[in-house]
Amino acid sequence: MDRKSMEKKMRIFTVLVIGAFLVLIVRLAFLQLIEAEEYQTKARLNHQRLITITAPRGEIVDRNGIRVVGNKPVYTISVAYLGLKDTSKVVGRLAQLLVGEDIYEGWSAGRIKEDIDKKMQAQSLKLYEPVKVSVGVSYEAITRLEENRLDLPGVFIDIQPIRDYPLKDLLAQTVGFVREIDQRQLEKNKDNGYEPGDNFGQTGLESQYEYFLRGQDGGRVVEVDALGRPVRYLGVKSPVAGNKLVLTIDSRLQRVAQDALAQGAQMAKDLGYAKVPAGKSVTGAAVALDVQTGEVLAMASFPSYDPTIFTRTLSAEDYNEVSSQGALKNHAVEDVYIPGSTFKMVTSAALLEGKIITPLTKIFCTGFYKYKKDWKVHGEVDLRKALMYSCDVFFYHFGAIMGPDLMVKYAKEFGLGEKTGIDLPGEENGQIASPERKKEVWKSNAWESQWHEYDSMDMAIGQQDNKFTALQLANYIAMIANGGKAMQPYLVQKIVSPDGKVVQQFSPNMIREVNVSHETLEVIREGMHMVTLPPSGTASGVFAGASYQTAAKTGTAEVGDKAGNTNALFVAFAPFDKPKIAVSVVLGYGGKGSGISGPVARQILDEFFKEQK
Amino acid sequence: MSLRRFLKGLDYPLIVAIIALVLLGLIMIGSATLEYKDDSFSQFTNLNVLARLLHLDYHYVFQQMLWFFLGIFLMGAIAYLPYEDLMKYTRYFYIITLFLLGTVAIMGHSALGAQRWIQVGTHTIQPSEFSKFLMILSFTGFLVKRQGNLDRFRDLLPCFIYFGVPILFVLMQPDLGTALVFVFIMFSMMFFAGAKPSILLWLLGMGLALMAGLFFIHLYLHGLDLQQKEQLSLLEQRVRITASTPAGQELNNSYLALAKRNRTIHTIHEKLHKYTFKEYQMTRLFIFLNPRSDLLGAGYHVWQSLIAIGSGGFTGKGLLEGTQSHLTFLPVRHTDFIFSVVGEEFGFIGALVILGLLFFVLYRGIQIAAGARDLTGTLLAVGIVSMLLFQIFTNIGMTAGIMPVTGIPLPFVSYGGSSLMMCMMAIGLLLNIYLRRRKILF
Repeated sequence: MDRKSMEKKMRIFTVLVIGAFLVLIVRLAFLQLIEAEEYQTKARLNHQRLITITAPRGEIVDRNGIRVVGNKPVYTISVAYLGLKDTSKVVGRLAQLLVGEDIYEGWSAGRIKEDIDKKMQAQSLKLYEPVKVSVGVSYEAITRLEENRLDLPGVFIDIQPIRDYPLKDLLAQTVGFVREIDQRQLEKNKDNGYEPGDNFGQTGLESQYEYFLRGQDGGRVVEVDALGRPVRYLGVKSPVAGNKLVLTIDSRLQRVAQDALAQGAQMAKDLGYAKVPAGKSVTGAAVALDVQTGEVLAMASFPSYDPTIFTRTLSAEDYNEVSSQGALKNHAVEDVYIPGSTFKMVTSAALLEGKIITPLTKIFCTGFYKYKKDWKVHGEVDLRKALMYSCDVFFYHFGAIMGPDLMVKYAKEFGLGEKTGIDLPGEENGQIASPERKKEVWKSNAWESQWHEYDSMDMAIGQQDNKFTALQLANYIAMIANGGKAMQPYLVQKIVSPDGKVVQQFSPNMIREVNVSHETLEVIREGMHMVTLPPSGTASGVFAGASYQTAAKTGTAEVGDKAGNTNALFVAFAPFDKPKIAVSVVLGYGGKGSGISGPVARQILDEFFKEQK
Repeated sequence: MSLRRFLKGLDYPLIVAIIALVLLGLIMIGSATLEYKDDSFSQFTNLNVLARLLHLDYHYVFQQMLWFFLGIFLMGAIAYLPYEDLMKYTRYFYIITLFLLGTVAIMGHSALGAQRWIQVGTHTIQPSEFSKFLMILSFTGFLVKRQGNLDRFRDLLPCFIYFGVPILFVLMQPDLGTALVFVFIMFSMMFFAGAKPSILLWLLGMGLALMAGLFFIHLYLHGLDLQQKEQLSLLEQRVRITASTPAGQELNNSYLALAKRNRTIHTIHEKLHKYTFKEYQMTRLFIFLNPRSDLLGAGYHVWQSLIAIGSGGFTGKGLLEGTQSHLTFLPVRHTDFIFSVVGEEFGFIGALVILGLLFFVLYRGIQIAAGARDLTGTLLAVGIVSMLLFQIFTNIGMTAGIMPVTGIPLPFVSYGGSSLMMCMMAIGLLLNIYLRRRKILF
């Protein structure tokens, strides 16, 4: 054996061993000395999970403190991503165990899995945090999950408050609903600390007062093992509930308004008044305002629905069903209706203020004026009587003489055709008929784009292109009733923090004075009062036997379709001598103002005065 | 040799290093197998290290201790018999090796994608571990006979065939890691036996090139196969829609042509998997090259191991305080990834201690090889040191993310009877050679 070469080989071998160990040591030094903090963070993120404790949203109560929207605790299921290598299998098993749950009514396991996958996908960037996949799971399902804990690594069960609607469909469209924040809203509210999966007010007051209603979420840091099983709690931050909204709404009055409105709609259908064209439906609204303060006492929209559906997993079909009936829309502010004869008080104000007539100017109604016919022959009528009979001939006559400009001016004076500025999103402008509008609409038609005499006549009785919201109508009646004060209508009296402090107080606010003389208003009020008086007032039947004096106006507005459908409108204020409340009722396709919408207003007023005693 | 002389002549520093390694290994095993299901572990932070030792999971520790004692006995026995006597039976060792490996390849039961174990009574043993030891013995015998006649490639060929057969069996399991250990042992023993280094290097280079070539062919075929499958499914949809039109006929023709091509490619791909790298091996190699491509899937093990080691920092988190191990993020903690637990709980310091002890063992091994009385002793010692070195490097390298995942345990430290006993036997052989060394050197 060649000793020398052997020694050389041994040296080579030793160098090889040293080299190998040096490589390992350098690598370990790199990991443990240079990158140590990096990996320490990773280890921490690995085994610590932040579980959000959702703060309850603020409650919404009516003026008497009755809860309209509250919260109730429900079970939620979250799934963690990291450390969970067989996510698909786990989600599949989870979906199986959730079949038959109320929130997944009629869904197959496959569909539930798809839904969960979609939610996890949406949050795939936040690998370390559990993704909330299901809210409102039953106790039975939770028991099932616990029994199958071993099949479900990474699945968390938690309790979270969700919206509760003790009064079901009451005030549904006005309070609006809450859903998980969507991508667009998230983008917009990035700086306000919103995160995927957070609740967000989508419509109505929930949206308007979102920043007051949302609470501050708390959190719990939990140590978990590789399967996502909690091992110990490292700390808790309690959530802070959102602020409470105290409304101006009287929930009892609201109940009566909604029920009466629904009844009216049903009656219109039953009596065959409503010949609803395909794709349309009977919709309507009723608004009651405090004439002195502008407080909204009731705001009903028909059809209604129970927002509880939005606390569940809502399928597109269910959503479309509710949406296509128009139940999601607040028809009191987000929809406009042709006012018909309820517009005649505007015409009256224009005639008197424009000195076209005096309160004593009379004509003899023969049942027609020029080429336009009315229903009835009223004989000798002055303005008050014209209102009482709702005599179209009187208004045709003077409307034709007066022309559109004064009517446009006084419609504006009464706040028609523009937003009232109520604290709700999505309020419609409405529109006042005018030569300019007509020109705009009929641009290509030489004859139709001109304003003709018959347009002034139509406008005078509230037809032509007039379209207003129910809220605008109620507000306009309130201005007549209170002597010309344009009060800001509002829904929220005050916002109260969870510890009882008033965060914000809203008081009656007079925006401006209506530029109509007291005398004129007096005449109009008297005319409206006569409407309610027997034997000839158009609404005398409506108020038969009422314990209070009222002033009102009916309206049966032609929709202008082939079937000859009409909107049923009714506006009123009471008591006549010392007005407190103004009411407007609108039912699209309702048929008859006095017959259908009148009784709705009557029930609202009855309830109001019953409570007053 | 009298017992007194035997006991006096043992290499005690080596033995102490081995005992220290095994003891540390026992502590790590006891720590690694302890899983936290609740927050009871938070109370450990108040305890000192000695008290914490009482809270280890002793189930696996006792098993390992049993094997350790058995290993000491085997070590002593092997150290006692003169190795010249052992060398008389190399032919039988070789036959036993082939038999063991053949048995595993045919009837072993599999774990993590490979069959490595066979059932003996209530225990499973891993014959490939023992076969390393036996092959060192038999290959030494084989080489010593050809001493001085290893200059030409023609001379080396029988060596390759001799060692190649067991390697082939190991690959059939398939156990690429052990096969590579074999290859490394083979080359380094041939180097010391006098084979021309240039030929060895040339062959090594060829082998590496072959492996790389195979890898890329696999990658290419895999990609092509997938791509064709995708195109096929797209075509299929269109064929179904346009079935009755002339365009549909054309589409159908190209569909059938592609399907035929794909069948060929797929068959070749399958065959290649069958005879060369298996699919899981390809995945491991691919992950090794792109560790971040699939952190939650195939790259999960290494990723968690890196987090464990890295987060240990300089001094470590302390015994029983490793979150990666006790909260079960780290896979196969007490066996293949035991070093990650060391890194996490005892940090760089702990890793250096283990590495230092291992280095000392190898260093003694080289000294023993250099001081051996004859070529037989040298080759035996070189074989053992090579085996240990390769295992140490690939195992720790794997936990630190610089070597691909192969199921190779860390000598003396990882849990596992076969591995521990084989290593103890190997040390026994080193002691044997040390006892019978040339007198002048030491």
